[in-house]
Amino acid sequence: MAGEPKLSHTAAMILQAVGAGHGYGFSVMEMTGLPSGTIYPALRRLERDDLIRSHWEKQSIADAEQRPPRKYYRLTSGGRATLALH
Amino acid sequence: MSLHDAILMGARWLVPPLQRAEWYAEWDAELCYIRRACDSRAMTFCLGAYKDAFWLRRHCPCRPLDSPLRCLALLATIAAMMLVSTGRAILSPPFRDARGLVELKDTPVDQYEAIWKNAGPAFAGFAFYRWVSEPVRTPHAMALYSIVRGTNNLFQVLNVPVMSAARGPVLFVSREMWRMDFDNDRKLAGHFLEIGGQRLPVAGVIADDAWPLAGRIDAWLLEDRTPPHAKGFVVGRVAAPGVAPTTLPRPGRRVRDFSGVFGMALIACLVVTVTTSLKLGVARDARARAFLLAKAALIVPTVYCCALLLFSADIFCPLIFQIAFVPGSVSAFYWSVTDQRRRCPVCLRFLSSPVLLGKASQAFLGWYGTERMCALGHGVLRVPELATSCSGSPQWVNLEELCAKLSG
Repeated sequence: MAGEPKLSHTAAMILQAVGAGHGYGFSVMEMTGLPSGTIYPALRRLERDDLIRSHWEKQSIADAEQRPPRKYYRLTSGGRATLALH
Repeated sequence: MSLHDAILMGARWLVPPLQRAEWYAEWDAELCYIRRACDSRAMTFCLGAYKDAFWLRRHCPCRPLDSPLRCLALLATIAAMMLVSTGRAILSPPFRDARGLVELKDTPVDQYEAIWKNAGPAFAGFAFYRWVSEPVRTPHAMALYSIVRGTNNLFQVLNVPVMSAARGPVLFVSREMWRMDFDNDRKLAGHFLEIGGQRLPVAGVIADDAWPLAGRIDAWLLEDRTPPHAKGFVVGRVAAPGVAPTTLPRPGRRVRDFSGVFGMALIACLVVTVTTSLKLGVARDARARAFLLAKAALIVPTVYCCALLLFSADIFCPLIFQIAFVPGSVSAFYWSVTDQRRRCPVCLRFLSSPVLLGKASQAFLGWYGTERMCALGHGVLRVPELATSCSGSPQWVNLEELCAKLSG
């Protein structure tokens, strides 16, 4: 397929983890067993390629649970399509 | 601040300024959760931040070295700073009062007397000293100390402000030794110290900055008689100032000694250029070639100064210098060429938007590789993934020329 994004095995694993609902870096680390130095650059690469999108949790939710707000990642439609192809 | 926070703070400065705050907020929040879950993995987690920060730095759209002029200005600033600091380090006299003293090293004591006799009126006086490490019994303990054993006139020749009417061996101690071993005793004079089995009375304390020559000395022992065949330094006081000491090589001689290394580095750079894939295909244009040469001309002296600064201290070793300089300059030249290959040969700005075209399995004998485009639309650089007889090196496709041909 023309224009199909090329994913490495690691990137595909991370994309799958995000698709499975592991929406933040530490959770993806737990799921895949990959180190932080691999996970975070890969998340940035996937976000740059429009396969995932990030958003910050609302401060009020984090404050209510007495913890810092988290940055969550979720699949875009392009990411879902790419994941379906792999 | 914990060690984990310090690691994150260190990595934070590698991230481009626009993304720094958000990047740190994410890593800081994640670290908080990891600490709650299992603290043992926090260290490994934090170290990963550097990899992430480097990734962001590498893929930052606003590159500080994108503009060729800014790149040259930065290299020129670094080179100037290195030249100034190296010049200061090399040209500064190795010790205070260097212009008024002449020093000969490894000189036997009998020659010292002959030198003094034949020196003539250009010198006001000569003294002889040896620098030895000897066991000294102090009121507290016995330990090895750094001692200068010199002739009686040593302090007179060196203009060390000391008054002593004592006859025979005279012993002076450093201020630090007085503080550490004699507890700042104001009635020090008359105390005895045992040096090399000889009991000697202490005559006084020498101030920290009074010793004009190099080195850290604990005690000075001035004697009437020096052991025959002893070798040491002969120091002379110049009657007419302006004569430099000869203990250390002069800067000019040092530069001459290593001018051959420049030749070696140049040959190594040429060999790297010819034998590797670093062909200068994208530097055919005169402007591009001038930019490449300017980069190399600025970066090689920087490496030279770095090597000099690193290895020209007290232990100046030519072999270590050569080992550091030749690979250093080759790496610097390699960087200049690879940097050039990432730039548009027309505007000399970085090429962007890399696109991978084709697959090895689907393009038998056909071209496949990566295309990088000039952001200003000057052209496309086609870098083959696999070197073949028809497409070995990167090819520059000038879109402006192509359009002119098509329209004209």
